[in-house]
Amino acid sequence: MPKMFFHLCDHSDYLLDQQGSNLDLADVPRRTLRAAREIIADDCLSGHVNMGYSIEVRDEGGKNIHTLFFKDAIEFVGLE
Amino acid sequence: MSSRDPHPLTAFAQRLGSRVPLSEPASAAVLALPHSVRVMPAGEHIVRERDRPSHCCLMLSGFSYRHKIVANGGRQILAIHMAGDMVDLQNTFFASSDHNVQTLTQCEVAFIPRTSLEELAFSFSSVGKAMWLETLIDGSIFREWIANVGRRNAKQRIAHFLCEFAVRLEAIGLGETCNYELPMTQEQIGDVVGLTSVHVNRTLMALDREGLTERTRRSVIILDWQQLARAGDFNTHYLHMPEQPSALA
Repeated sequence: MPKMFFHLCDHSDYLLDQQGSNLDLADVPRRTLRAAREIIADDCLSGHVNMGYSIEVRDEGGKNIHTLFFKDAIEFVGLE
Repeated sequence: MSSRDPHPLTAFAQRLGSRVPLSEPASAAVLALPHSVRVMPAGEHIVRERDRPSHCCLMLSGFSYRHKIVANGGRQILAIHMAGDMVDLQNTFFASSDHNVQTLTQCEVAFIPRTSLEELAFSFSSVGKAMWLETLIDGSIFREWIANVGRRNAKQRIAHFLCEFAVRLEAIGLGETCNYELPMTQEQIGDVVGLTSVHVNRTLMALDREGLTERTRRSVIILDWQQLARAGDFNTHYLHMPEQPSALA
């Protein structure tokens, strides 16, 4: 299985994943969505959520495989 | 404990003796247990769920972990075991294993026939009581981990885990409470605390930024033990250790 690196980005600031994870390409979107939702959920408990994050998944060659913006990870209803 | 010890079961006898004082014949009986020692590479199964193990395993060196795999493929690590731990004493009596045990690093493992352990426990009540205590302490650690995963946030969970690992390593002489090697990936830490590796990475970085820890690859330096313990809601009570670790003294 290829190694994928899940970098957490806040506009210009990158929190690099130095270790990476071995997983199938097909699992990348599901894994990314899970990570984003988990971080949002944990931040919700603290009462402060930064929806400006995204997760960029890159392979060992640095090629972008997938990007997920936090704002696309969850659906808000009843805000209006 | 290491392979340089004169007898592979010496540390086990000492461990049981630290729980309940053992007479000379009882200690001798522990050392006389039949056993075979195997060196196992990282990632190998020591026990598989639904196996009917004929042996119990004593960790002589290295690290192993208990885990369960759920229907969606997710893995929950239930315990980390290190040198001196009797990994699956409970399998002395269970008909089949209800979880997996796998090596985390290269390990030296002593395999002891479960029938011999059972005979020993019933022949020497002190040994039986000490083994019972070992399983009760396992249970105490399980309870703490359930509380950790169920009721603490990401930062608390990881801070708690870093503290526990530090204290347990120091207890077996493999590290100082505030400076040690953590032989785990972020993914494996995530499986301990029920978080994704991305979240673990962010949380570890936050602990570094707050000046509580400093990490380089697998090395962990705890810069402020008291603050980290507070952040992780950590105390050593549930470990039921005979001696207080240095950082807490």
